[in-house]
Amino acid sequence: MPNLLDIRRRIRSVKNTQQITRALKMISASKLRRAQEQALAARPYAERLREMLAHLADQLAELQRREAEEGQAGPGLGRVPASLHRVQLIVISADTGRAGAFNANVIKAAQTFIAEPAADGQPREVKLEIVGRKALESFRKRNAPIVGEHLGVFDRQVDYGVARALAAGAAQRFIAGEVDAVYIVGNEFKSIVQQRVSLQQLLPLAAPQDNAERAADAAPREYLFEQPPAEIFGKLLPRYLEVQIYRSLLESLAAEHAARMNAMDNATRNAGDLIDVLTLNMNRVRQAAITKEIIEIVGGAAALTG
Amino acid sequence: METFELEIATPQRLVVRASVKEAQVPAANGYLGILPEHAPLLSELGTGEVSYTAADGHAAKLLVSGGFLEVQPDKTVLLADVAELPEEIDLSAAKTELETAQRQAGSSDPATDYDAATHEVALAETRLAVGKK
Repeated sequence: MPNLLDIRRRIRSVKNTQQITRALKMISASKLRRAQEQALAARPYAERLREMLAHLADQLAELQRREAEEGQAGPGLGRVPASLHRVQLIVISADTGRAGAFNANVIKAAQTFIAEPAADGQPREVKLEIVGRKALESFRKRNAPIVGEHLGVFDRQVDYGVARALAAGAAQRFIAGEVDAVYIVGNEFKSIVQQRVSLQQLLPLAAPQDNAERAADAAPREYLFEQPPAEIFGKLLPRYLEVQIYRSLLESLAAEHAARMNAMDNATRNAGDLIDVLTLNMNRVRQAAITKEIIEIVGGAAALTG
Repeated sequence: METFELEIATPQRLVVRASVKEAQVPAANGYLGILPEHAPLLSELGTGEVSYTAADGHAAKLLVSGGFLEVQPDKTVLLADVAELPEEIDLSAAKTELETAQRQAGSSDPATDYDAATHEVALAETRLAVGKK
């Protein structure tokens, strides 16, 4: 039977752990609020940009067609590659753990993607660009080909510059023909209790569709272009890429804090349960000791009088 | 009185959403005056001051730099790289920036990026102009 002191010590240690998990939960809750606000604030720009491209879908298709036919240098990003198996994958994980299955889910999704054959049936040749220490460690161990790594992205607010760097790297590899497609995988913030891993194709570009609006005004708008369309697309498309990556980073940050908050909430609750069990145990041991002492006293007294 | 929607956003946030009577915006090739029912237009944005008159008659201005401009008959959208309201501009910081930028633009060091330096000068000058008052 464990003695009283040991149990007391154990309770104290579990209580300390509980305090830490409770504090971490609180920190995550406040960081989550900020991350959510940031994600929300970034939404109008992304939406307007998407709408703008949707309005211009015809011109973009025209430009892509011309580029494909004549092989001329157009916006570059409009390239339509013949094969599809050389791929760059951007993986967004967190720098720290203690967030439940948050990191494991992304890593698993990335591995599934790598193992799958491409649409043309050939095995994928994947280059990885990684955000966050957790995925980096995991893929380093597996000797996966890593072309870029970004740590400390989520220490403070997400810097737009990181998205710009990621987009520039992907665009450059795509235009140079090193890769035929670029994908991004990361956690998406669904709700506070739900995160979902989403895999998205960034390149080759698919012009966003705006069906509702299309139907409303049947005749496509004729735009005046202040600069040649190719020049505007040359700047608009990289920006679109950046914004999509930026959005994924913000989503991942919000999802990370939500996941951590839940994980720490569970840990706090489990610690509470453990403390209850231990306390019951301690009381039982203490009661047993008292009973034993009484029996001894009674026994002793009986021996004297007898 | 006819009005149109004016929206100015940066990748980080929505800066202005207002119903306006008219607006002046710095397109890459010079300032553009926009009234309701303007023909659809697409342009790059330059660096400069956006000024507009809101539906209730009060005038406002702000700084924008870089990005895109889309005009539709009932709506104008500015997707700017930088957008700052007058009350957000730190005048003394802008002054130091202007001096540094001017020094750089006037430097004889061949490694200087003149395009970037002139852009910085324009940005700082506009900051001062918008931030004043």
